[in-house]
Amino acid sequence: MRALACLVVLCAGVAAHADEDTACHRVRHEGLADGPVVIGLYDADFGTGRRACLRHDFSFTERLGATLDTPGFYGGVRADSIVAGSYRLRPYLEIFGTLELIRWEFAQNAVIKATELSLGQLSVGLQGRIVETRRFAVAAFGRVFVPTATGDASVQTTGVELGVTGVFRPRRDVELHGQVSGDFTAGLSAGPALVRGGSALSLGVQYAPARWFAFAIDLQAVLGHRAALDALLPMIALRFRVWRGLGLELAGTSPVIGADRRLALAALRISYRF
Amino acid sequence: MREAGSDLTRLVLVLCASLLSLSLSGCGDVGCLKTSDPSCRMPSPCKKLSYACAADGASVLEVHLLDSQSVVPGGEAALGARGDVLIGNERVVAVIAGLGDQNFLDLSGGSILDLQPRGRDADALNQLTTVVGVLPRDSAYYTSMQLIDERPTRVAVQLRGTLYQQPDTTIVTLYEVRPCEPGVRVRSVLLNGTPDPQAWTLGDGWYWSGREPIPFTPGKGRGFVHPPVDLLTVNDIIEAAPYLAASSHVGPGVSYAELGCEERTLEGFHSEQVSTFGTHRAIVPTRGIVTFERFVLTADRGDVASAIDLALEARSQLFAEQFVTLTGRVEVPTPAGGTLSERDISLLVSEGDAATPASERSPTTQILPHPDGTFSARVPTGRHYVVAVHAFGRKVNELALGLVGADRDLGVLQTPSVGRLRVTVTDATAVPLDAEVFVVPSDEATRASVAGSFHGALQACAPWLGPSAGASPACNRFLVWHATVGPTDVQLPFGHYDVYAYHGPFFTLAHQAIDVTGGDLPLELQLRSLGLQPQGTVSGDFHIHGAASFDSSIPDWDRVLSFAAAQLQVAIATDHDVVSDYADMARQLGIDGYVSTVSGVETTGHMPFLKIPGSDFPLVIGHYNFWPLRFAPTEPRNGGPFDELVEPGELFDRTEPLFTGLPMIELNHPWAEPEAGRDLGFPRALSLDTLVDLPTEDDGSAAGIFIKTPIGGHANDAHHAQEVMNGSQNDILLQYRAFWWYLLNQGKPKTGTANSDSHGLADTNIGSPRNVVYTDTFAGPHFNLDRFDEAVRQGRSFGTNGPIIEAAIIDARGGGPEVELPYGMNVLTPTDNARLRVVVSAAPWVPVDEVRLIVNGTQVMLIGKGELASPGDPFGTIGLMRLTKEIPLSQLLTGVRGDAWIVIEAGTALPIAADLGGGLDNEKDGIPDTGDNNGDGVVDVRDIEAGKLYGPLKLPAAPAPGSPLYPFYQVVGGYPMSFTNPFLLDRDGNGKFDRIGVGGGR
Repeated sequence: MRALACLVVLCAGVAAHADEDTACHRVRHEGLADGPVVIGLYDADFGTGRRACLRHDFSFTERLGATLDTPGFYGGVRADSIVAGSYRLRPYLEIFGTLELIRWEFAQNAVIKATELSLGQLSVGLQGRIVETRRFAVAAFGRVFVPTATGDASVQTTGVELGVTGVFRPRRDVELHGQVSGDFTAGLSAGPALVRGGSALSLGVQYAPARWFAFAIDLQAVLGHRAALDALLPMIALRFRVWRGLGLELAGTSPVIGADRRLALAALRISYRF
Repeated sequence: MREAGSDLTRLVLVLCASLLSLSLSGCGDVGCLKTSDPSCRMPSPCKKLSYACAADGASVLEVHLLDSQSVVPGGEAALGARGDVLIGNERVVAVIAGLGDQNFLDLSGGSILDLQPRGRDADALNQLTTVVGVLPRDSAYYTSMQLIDERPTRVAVQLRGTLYQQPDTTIVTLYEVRPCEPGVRVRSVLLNGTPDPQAWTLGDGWYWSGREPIPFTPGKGRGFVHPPVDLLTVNDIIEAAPYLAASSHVGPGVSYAELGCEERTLEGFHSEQVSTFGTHRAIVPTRGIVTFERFVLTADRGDVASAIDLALEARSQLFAEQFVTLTGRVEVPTPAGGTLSERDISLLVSEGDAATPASERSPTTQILPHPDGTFSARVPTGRHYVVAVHAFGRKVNELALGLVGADRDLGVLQTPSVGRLRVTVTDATAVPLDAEVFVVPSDEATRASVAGSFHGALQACAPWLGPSAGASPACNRFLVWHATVGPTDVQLPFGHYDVYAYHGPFFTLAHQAIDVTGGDLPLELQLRSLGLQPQGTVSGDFHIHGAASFDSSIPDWDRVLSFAAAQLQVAIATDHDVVSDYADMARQLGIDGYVSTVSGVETTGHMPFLKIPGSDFPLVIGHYNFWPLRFAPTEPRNGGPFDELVEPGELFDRTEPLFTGLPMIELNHPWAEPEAGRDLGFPRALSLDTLVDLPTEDDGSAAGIFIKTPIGGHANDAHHAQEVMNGSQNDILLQYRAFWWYLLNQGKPKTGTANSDSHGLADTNIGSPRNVVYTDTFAGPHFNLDRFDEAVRQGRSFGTNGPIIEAAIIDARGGGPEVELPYGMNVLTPTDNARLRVVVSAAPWVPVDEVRLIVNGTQVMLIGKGELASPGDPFGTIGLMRLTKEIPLSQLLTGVRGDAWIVIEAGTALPIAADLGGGLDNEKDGIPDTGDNNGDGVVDVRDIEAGKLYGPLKLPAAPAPGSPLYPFYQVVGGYPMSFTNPFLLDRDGNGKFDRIGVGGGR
């Protein structure tokens, strides 16, 4: 963990100095959400996109996912109430965390059904700015799973994700963003750890026609966790600035190909940037 | 800000490290999940259990592989064979299926096949297998097995594998027996290595399969009664209970119980077919582990109390629960020295008071008293109880105990007096005869006062003389053996009855009205042969089950005696998935001189695997009968084939080496309703559309699957015979018949057969229906099975439950003498002047209201009551001949092009029915599926049951007393019916019988 923090800080050390006319300030309004669509297939915020620009913020997200595999006689629904925040420790370094405060899950194997209400996973991480110019910003991040889930006493899950995220803003109302990350997770239990790893690649664009509204379209490829191609996820998000730094985002995705059996995921996020 | 950030970073890192170390500190390989090293040993389950032991108790611990010389524990459900593992102590013995020994729901081996008190030879357990749900993939599939011999402490069997077709899971199960314990400790550990959360309930699947032990669970309105199971709504009827128990209903008696060692209650659903009992349903996350520890007990009596007593003792150790003992005595009017049965007395102890309605009471235990009437049973302490005394399947007394906080003597419980019927059955020369005797209430008042059941479960009967699936007396009938010294005694509740003695369709039916008012009632019944069975024929039932079947409990003595009682001459043993042999029992009964028994099997698909176009649901291939097979009691399935996961053609290939004579393969009940999601007939499984011709080669369609050759040997449609009549009720006759006709029209003639598919004395009558086979051999010591089977293959038989049809084509070729051309699979080329001669006869108690002539699937002639003779006295000996008629073939074949087939039927009128759906997407499929259920004389959508897409088929109403059909209905059930095999007519002279097509050549 300490090594990871050092790595991020070292990377951050090469960052350019910030000024008011850099890419991260080149937005229609700083209260309007930006960056990749934050919706992912995994616990907490693993595998989700991170914005390249560092900041202080806090968010509350309701995430809903459904799985439907009729030939496999399998289905599931999961709803998470997620709190997340980031704190900019230094101009080039941010700490962030995400906690599934309430996890409600339903699963059905053929006709056997079960539900569960529990505390979910916590992830914490650090993000450091690598470079920032008038139009580009690139940051590196790393996060770890802290085993907090209470749903099943037989196992806790931990893991690490490292990634690089970047944004290109040719205009104030347009941004292109992309991210590359790799992760692994492992179980802590009486059984084998069953280490699983993979990566995620995403590319997207956001257009903000007004100071209070933007929409983003991303395409994410999730690779290697359960198959060569886990999922190809077209994502869309509608982003609103409600009041000053208070924003609201409605996002959704549905895997189009890949081994993942998820039918769709949707998220409603309320964030406050301060 | 910078300092604050550093502090925060450090805080997070320390927190992470702490949590990681905390998590890791709890890790240990408690389930041998981390390694496949065979030396890894799971910890013992149920560590809180401890049983006092005699000094030499440990010396009896044993665990070893069975070989062909091993003495295998016996019993009606015993399956132990070479390669299985025997484990036991001085109290119990269990057989674990060896790896590769497939039985029923267990594809890999590793399930408990047999369990019983040592030395009892009373095994009544079909199978106990580890499952997490209801699909095949939810069952354990073991790939390694270790025998653990740690005497004198324990012996164990440890198995490791996965869930079936789920390689990302790992399951390890330990069966452990310790000295002096009355059961097997079991521990299963299951790892979810899949990337998805799973809804699992890790538990045991108890495969009762009907007509066997039935599950008992405490709970409001429960006991032996459970909500109906629908596969789609199973989740809704899963309930928690502190223990599960069951007991056998025949033989020396054995009982079972299961309880959790870590959880006070377990969850499951229960039916007479299957129970599951295990951990509460939960979501198991990826990498999550479920552990289930339980104690599976067995006791040596035929009531659940004997096992529940042990379960409560175990719970006192595991959970510090207290129990008390109820004792007492029941005054039972049983002859001295007689063994009490569930008919005589059964006590149901429930939580509740006298005022608590039955549906609100919570049954706790059920007691079968000792022969002297005394009883003793344990119940949890500190609850209110009421004891219901049952005799002849009815509650006859009740005692409210109030709050029971200490052991209680209930004193003497009274039961009502009964009468004793002393029956003798003889033939016309006063020689004792094997027979079956039926007792039928004469009036509604008697019927209402004697109707009973086994505590609301099993089949209800009036009177209830015993469990319908068990030994004689069963339901309302009993067997009489010719060699019994003196009369056969049967007790009866008071009332007015009609008593019928039956010896098959070729004998008279004896009848006597009686009043039972107490004391002994001698009854001599005489039966006379009517000489109805055609010369040169042997009758046979090709579909018979006995106790070896997983869904039958009838002891071999009763099963084999029933053959003689029904004057059946050839009995083919076709138990589900196991080969049986009745030859020894036939010799013991002294009937082998006139009854020949044949070893066979009914392969029974349990594990769905086959997918057809247009459906996501995997299927099984249904049931097939094979005979004659080698009876090999030391082999798995007694030498029967492994019949799962293969198409019929491959199954035929697998079975070919097992035949001991001319192979016979019969497609059974081709259109029967699926049970528990498993089809019973291959054509219905495929949802064959009989409105369309079969393809000539496999075209990938469901019909293509029906005709294809899976691996180069037999084709899937290579069976020799098909059941047209199955069961005494004839309830699905119209569908079986329609499919048989379809194959005839497709140029694929199969011998039509008529079988009872009897599983006991009361479900369907043995030999009703039966096949009457024209052959040159005779039943008895010189029976030539190959010649008999060859005649069956050639279709030289008719099927009947009463009427006898003798038919032939009378023809003269080229000015020569007239000859009789028989029906069957030999293709005939009659001249234009040929005539069909039909002779129909029947016993006076068998009504024949019509004779039907069918050509290419269309009824072309109906000969009604006006032309048929009708006897006056159903219990007399005259009026046998009903019809003698000759009909020009040209008249029957008017309007028919090309080749043709003719079938003759006789009996009462068939129920009207129509095809309103039933296909894969509920399109019409050519098979009748709906009857005139609203009685308006037509079959239309208004006849479809609410909530259904089609159906049901309606059986004719039960006849009223005085109706000509009434006596037949009392002993056979259903309605009279017989049919011949087809005359196959090669009308285009090409030397073969060509496909006619679904249009019927018209």
